[in-house]
Amino acid sequence: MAITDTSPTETATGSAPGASDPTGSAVPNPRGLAGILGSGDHMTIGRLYIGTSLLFGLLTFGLMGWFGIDAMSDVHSDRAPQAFTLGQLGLVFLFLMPLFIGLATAIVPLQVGANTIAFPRAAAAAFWTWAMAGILLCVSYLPSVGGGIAGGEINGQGLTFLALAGLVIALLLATVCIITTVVTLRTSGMTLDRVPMFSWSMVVAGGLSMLTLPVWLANVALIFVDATYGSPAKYGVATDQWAQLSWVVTQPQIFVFAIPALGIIADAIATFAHARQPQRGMVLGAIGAFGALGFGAYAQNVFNPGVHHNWLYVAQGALILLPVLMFLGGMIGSLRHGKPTLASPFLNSVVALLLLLLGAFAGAAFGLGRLGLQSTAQQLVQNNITIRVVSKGEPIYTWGVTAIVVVAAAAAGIAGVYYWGAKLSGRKLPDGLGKLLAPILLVAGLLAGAPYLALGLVAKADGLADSANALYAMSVAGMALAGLALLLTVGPFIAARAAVIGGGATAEADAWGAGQSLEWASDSPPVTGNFGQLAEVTSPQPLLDLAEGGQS
Amino acid sequence: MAAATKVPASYAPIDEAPPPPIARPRVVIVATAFASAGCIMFFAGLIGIYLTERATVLGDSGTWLPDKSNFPLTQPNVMLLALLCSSVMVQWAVDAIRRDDRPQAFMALGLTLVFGLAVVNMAAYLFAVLNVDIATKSLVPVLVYTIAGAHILMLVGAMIFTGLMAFRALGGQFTSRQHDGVSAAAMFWHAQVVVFVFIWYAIYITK
Repeated sequence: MAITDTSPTETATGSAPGASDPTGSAVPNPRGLAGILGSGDHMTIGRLYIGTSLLFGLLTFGLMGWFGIDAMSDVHSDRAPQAFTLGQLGLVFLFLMPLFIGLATAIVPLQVGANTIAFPRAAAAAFWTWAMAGILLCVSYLPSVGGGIAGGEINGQGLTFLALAGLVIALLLATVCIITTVVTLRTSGMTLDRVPMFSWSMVVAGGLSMLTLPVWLANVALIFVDATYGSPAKYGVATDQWAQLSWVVTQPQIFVFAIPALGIIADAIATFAHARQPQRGMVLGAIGAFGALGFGAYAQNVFNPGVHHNWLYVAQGALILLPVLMFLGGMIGSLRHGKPTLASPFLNSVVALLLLLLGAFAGAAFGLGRLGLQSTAQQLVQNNITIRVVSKGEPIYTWGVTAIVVVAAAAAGIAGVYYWGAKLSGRKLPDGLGKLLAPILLVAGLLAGAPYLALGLVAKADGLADSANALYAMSVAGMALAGLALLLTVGPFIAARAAVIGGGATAEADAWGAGQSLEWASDSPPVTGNFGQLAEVTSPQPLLDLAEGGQS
Repeated sequence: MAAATKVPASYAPIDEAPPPPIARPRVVIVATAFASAGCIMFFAGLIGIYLTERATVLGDSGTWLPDKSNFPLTQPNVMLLALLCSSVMVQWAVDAIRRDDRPQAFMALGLTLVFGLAVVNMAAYLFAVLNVDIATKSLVPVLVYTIAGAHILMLVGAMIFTGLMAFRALGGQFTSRQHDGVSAAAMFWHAQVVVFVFIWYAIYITK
């Protein structure tokens, strides 16, 4: 057995109800703080990721709102650009990516019929490294420390870059654990084209993350070395740092962080449509193509000036619409073959898909030179138009695309938390509250992103700059609504988990009564080892096979 | 919404201890392949920036290397040769463990580590003779020290990985039927060698 291989009974140290010890010789699972800190149980790690990332999400949406409020005022704070950079990086590395990794850490082993996640100790180490690095990153931005990007001092910035490197390395480690689980630990008969959509989307997202985030890490390393040991020559100059790092939160790279959203949407819609996914190969291909077209490591404006006008970049932005439309076609096909139930995960998935479609359209429009959307703040100043920005070389329009895609992915993440709530916490989260979140998230996405898209037209629309304050106010309202949605997710999630730990009733295994994939065959919450002996899987929907009396 | 249903019996968790883990299909190898890909992309990003900056400066009719700097070929060539030899050694180790030839496997793993140490030693000497001061306005020192320094760090990581696998091989954990750990270490090692080939060409040959 490899050093990292551990049997489920050794690794799952959570207090899953129903776990049994037939020999009576096992050491009791630690409970309380020891059970959390020392756990290699994929469900415990997943819960920790989800809860922590939702709390970080509240912070990051708050920081983005602060920047908007500052932009409206006559006197700008020196700290506002720092709030913006922390908010933007936080949306990706403290909120979206860890939220999906948390869901995947908990759910992917169940979906592929594995007893545990690959490298459970590495997965636990990745979580704690990520959490500590996240806290360090926030601390480094404190005025007393003096770090942060866009305005920090070199002494404090060392902590910022150390934290950023820690975040990315931890998230990549967690990603490796998840991809390896899907690739190597699938149950008998589950070929790669039979894995549930969420697991497939995590493979695609993980692959793209492994190909792009190390490049971003290279940017961080270069800035760190130059700022710390150099004069600095170029990379470490405080005013130029954000321009080197911002490609990771703008299109096309921002779409990479939304890939798992497609998996959640597909799984939830098929479940609540009560139908097998038609054209499954097309949907799998659409998710893969969406990922491939999100590759953005080359789109670094600092080293590749004029990349926004490059035909490859423009074509990539336009082509990404195709997989989204293919995916939409697949979802419509699902709905046509079944009778949809309007449960909260379904509604939130629909909202996420609509926002993602809007984000893809907006991204495609960015390449249209006649609209002047690629105008940077530096170019606008030459036309006597002043817009509050952080980097003078960054088109403000891209913030709008980013905000819409982030809220779309957040809506899918929230749909996932409600959808798999019974597995994650032990009981279903309140469905009525979840339904309420769908319109909130739709409005949040529109308000958060559309104002920046409109501001992108400022070069061509006379007088639009005069309305900038109203547009910033709308964006602040959108961020506040997104934060509210997170609050209404993390609250019920913690309450449900606390109720189950306190001995409350747990949900049925197939909590929605319509499960198609293997996670719905495990207890809610899953017992240690997840499953007993599983029959051979012969289709992507093994539970439907069984319900329909076919071979499974 | 449909009513909650009971799970069919054949998928219901049984009230027994979970079955023993199945023979895992090369988990360590797959994970190492992804880690190696990430490592290669890290250097691809850095070398891409290096070549872009160099082309920009030379395109502006500027001088790329700082005055009085010294970029010798001898040390990088020796490093490349040592790394290529180490690649052969680590592959020899994999082959030996596949044949259950443990003495040869230990010897090959040991020689791999020796070659690794030699490269680290040569890199330290090379940095001493480069004669480039990082605290200048030139881009070259920052780029060269970041790229070469990161590669040395990664190589040390590969040595630790290989060393761990060597100790496990000493403990008898790897055989002709199960040699994933040694194979994974070899894969990561080869990735470091490939990276150095590009560094050698981009930095020390093209200058």
